[in-house]
Amino acid sequence: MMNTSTRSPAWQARLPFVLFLVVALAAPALLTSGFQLRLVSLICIYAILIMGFNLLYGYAGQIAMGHQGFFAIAAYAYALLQLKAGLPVLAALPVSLVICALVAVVIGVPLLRLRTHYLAMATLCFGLVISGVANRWIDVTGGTGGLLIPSITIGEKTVDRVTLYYLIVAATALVLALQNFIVSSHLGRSLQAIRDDDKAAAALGVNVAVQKLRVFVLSAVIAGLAGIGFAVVSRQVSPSMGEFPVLVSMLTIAVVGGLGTRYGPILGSIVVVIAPQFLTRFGELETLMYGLCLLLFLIFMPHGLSGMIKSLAGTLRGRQALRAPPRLPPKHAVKKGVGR
Amino acid sequence: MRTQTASRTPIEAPQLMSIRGGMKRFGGLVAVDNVSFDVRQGEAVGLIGPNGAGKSTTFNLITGVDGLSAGEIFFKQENITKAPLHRRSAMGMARTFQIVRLFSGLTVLENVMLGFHPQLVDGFIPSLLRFRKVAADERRCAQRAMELLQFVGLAPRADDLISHLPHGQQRLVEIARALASEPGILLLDEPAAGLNDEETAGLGRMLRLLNDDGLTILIVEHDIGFIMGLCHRIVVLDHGAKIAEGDAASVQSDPKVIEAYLGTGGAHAKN
Amino acid sequence: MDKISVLLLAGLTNGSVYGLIGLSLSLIYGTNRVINFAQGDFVMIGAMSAILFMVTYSLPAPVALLAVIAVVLICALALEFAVYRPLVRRGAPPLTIMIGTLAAAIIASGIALLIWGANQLYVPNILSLDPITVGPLTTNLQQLAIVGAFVVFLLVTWFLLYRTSFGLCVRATGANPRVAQLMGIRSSRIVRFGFMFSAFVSGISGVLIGPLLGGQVSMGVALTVKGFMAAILGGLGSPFAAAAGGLVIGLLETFVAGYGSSLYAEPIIFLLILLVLLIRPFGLLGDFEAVRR
Repeated sequence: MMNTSTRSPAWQARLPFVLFLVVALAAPALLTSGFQLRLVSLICIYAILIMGFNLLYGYAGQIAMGHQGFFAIAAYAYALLQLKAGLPVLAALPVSLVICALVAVVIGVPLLRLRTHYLAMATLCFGLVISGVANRWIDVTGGTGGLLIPSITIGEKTVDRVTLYYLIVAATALVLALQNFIVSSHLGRSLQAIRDDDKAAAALGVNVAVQKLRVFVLSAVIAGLAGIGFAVVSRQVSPSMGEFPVLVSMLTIAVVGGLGTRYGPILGSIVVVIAPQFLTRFGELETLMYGLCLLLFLIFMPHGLSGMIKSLAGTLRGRQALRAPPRLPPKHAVKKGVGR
Repeated sequence: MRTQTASRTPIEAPQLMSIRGGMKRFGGLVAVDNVSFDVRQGEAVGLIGPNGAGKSTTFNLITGVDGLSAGEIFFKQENITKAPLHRRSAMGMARTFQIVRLFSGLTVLENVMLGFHPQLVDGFIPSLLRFRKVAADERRCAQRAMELLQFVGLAPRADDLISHLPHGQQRLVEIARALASEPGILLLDEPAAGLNDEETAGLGRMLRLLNDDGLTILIVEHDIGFIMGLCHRIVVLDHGAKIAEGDAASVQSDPKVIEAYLGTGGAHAKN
Repeated sequence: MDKISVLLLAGLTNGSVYGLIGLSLSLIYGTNRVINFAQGDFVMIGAMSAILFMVTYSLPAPVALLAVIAVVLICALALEFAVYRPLVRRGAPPLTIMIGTLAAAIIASGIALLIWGANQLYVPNILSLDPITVGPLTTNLQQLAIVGAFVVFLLVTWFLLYRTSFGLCVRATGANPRVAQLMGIRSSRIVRFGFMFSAFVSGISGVLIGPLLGGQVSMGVALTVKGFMAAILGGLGSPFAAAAGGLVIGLLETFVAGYGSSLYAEPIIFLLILLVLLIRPFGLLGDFEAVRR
C-alpha cells in the first residue's frame, strides 16, 4: 500500500506549492486566449472542490457522494443573496459559505453515524433532493434555466477577466495551504486514523464523531467556495451544478489525482480539464471517458498520478534521502511514565 | 515468580482503577458475571482464565469498547462508567488489542505519534489560530515518538509502512503507541499472542522495566508463565465470573483454578 | 376507475420494477458484500436495447427480447471480468468495488449516450397496450406483464434459493462467505450467478417498463437509488423483503404524486429515503447488517 505519509522535509513540501503558484501566476502572460484562461480558472475551481472532497474521502475515509449538492447550494445562496436580498459581493460570499456550513451541520450530525454504502446512498439522496428542488422551484431558483449572476464590481468598474482569474488563484492557494496545514498536522493524522480503524482511533483519544463532523463541514464549505467560483466564472448558476455529472467529475478527478494525497486534486483537475481539449469528438465521449479513466485508475493506479510521481521520485533518488528522521536524543533516555 | 519487595508494597498504594459488579449480557448470554477487582498504583495485575472466560470482554468493559449491562468502573477515584471511549484515553488509560490494530495508511512513526493526540490542540479552527504551536508540537511529538521507538528497538523502521513489519514488531509499535500518551495505566490484551519465545521474553523484560519505573499494568494473557513472572497479583475468571484472586503462589494452588483449567490441558505454570 | 385504483395500479407497476432491482441488489450483496451501482443501468440497457432491436433493426418482438437478454448477460459478464475480478485481485475493499460498479454504470451510460443520445425516447411495447378491464381496474397486457413478471421472478428466485442445492450454496455464502468457501463452495460461481441472474431480471424489467416510463439514458441512477432503498427496507440480507420494499416505494411514489404534489414527487421520495436512512439505516425489518458487524 502506498505510504500516504504526512511527513516530509520542508523543501519537498514547499516545492509543488511554489511550482503551482509560479505557473498559475504566470499563466495570463503565457496564454493567448480568454478561453484558455477560463480553462485554467476551471482547473483551479475543480481543484478546490476536490481538495474538499479529498479531505473527507481520501483522508478521513468517509464516502460522501453528495458534495455536488454543496457546490450548488453555496452558488445559489450567493446568487440569491445578491439578486433578492441586495447584498454586495463582499457580504454575499461569506454569508453563502455560512449557509453552506449550517446545512452541512444539520445533515452531517445524523448522516455521519452511517458507514460505507449507507453513507454513500444517503449523501447521494441528499444530492438528488437538492438538484430536484433546484430544477423545480422555479420562483426561487429559476428552474432549469437557473439564475444570472451580476458581474463583480469594485466601485464603478467591473472586475475584468484577468483580475478575476488572480482572485481564483489566490483562493486556490489559500485552500491548498489550509489543506497542507491540516494534512501535515495531528489533525490529518487523526483523520487517517479514523479512515483506517476508527475504534482504535477512539481508543487513542480521538473524538471520532466530532472529528468526522468537523471535516464534513469543512469539506462542504470548501465545495461551496468552489461552487461560488464556478458560478462567478460562468456568470450563472444552474441546477446542473448539483447533478450527477458533477459527482462523476469529482470522483474521477479525485481517483485520477490520487486519493489521500496533497497534490492529487490539482494534478487530477489538470488532467481531467485539459485532456478533453485534445480529443476532438470529446463532447459526446465525455461521460464514457470519465468512466473509463475512473475504472482504469481504480484498478491499475489506486494511488493516482500523485502516487505515481512519488514512486518515480522515490526510485530515482532512493528512499532514505527523501526522509530525514528527527534527531535522536543523545542518550538512551526513556522518560519514565510514572503516570498522570 | 514476582514477589513483593519490601521497598515497595503496592498493597498500600492508592487504588488506580476498579471494576465493581461488572456485568455484560449479549442477548441471553452472560459474558461477564458480577466481576469486581481493583488495580493499585504501580501494580502489575494479570487477568487469566480458560478460553471463553470473559477476559477480553471484561477488558473491553474497562476500556469502554463495550458498555456495561450493570456495575461501575472507577478510574482515579472518578466514576467513568458512562465515559465514552475517547475520554478514557484522555484520562490516562492506554490499551493494546488482541489483534494488532495499527493504522495501515500511516508509517510506524506516525502510528506512534497518534498516541499523543489527546495532548494536542483540539479542533480545526483552534489549530489554525495557534499554527505555530501546532508546528512546534509536531516536532516535539516526532522526537518523542522516536524515543519510544528506540525504547522498543524499532527506531530504524520509523518510516516504514506497517504492512512491511512482521507481527512481533507490529506488537511493539502498538505498545509504543500506547506509551506515547504517558498513561496512568497500560492495558494489554494478549500481547504475547503470536510471538515466539525470544520475542515473548523480550516483551516480558520490557514490561517489567516499565512497571519497575512505576507504570501500572493490567494484562490479559493465556501464557501463564508470562503472567507469573510479571504480575504481583492475578485475577482468575471462568465462565464470566471471578473464581480466584491473589498472588501467583496462591492462585496456582487454588483448587478452583486447577479445576477450571483441567479440561483444557491443565495449568502449566512454571515455578 | 377511481383515483385510488389508478394510483394503486401505477404504484404496483413501478414498485414491481423497484422491487426486482432491490431483489437483485440484495442477491448480489449476498454473494460478495458489494452494492452494485450499475443495477439500475441494467434496466436502462434493457429498455434502450428494446428500442434498438425493435425499432432500428425491426426485429419481431420475441427475437428482440432474446437479443436484449443476450445484451444484458454480456454486460453482466463484462461487469464481472472488467470490474469485479480485477479489483478483487488487487485486494480492494467492498466500498472501492462499489465505486468500480459506479464507474461501470458511468461507462454504460457513456456508451448508451453515443448510441441513443440524451433525450427521452419512446420504447416500443412487446405486449399490447390496448385497455383491458379487470374488475374495477383498467389496465393493459404490458402493465399486467410487469406485475406478472414480478411474481414469476419472485417464485423463480424462491425456487432457486430454497429448492436447489445451488441455491443452498448461494444462501450459505450470503450467511458466512468465509465458512462457505472453506466448505468447498466456489465463490466465483456464486458471484457470477449473482451478476447474471440480476442482469437478466433487470433487463427484462427494462423491456417491460420502458413503454410506460419512457427510455432515457439517465434513468439508471434514480432506479439504483430506489432499488437500494427497497433492498435496505428489509435489511440487506433478504431478497424477498427487498421485493416487498420495492412495492412500498412504488406505492409511496404514486400516492405522493397523486395526493401531494406530482411535481415534487421525486425529490420528496428521495427525501423520505434519506430520512429513513438517517433514522433506521438497518432497515425496518432486519438487523442483518447490524448483526453482521
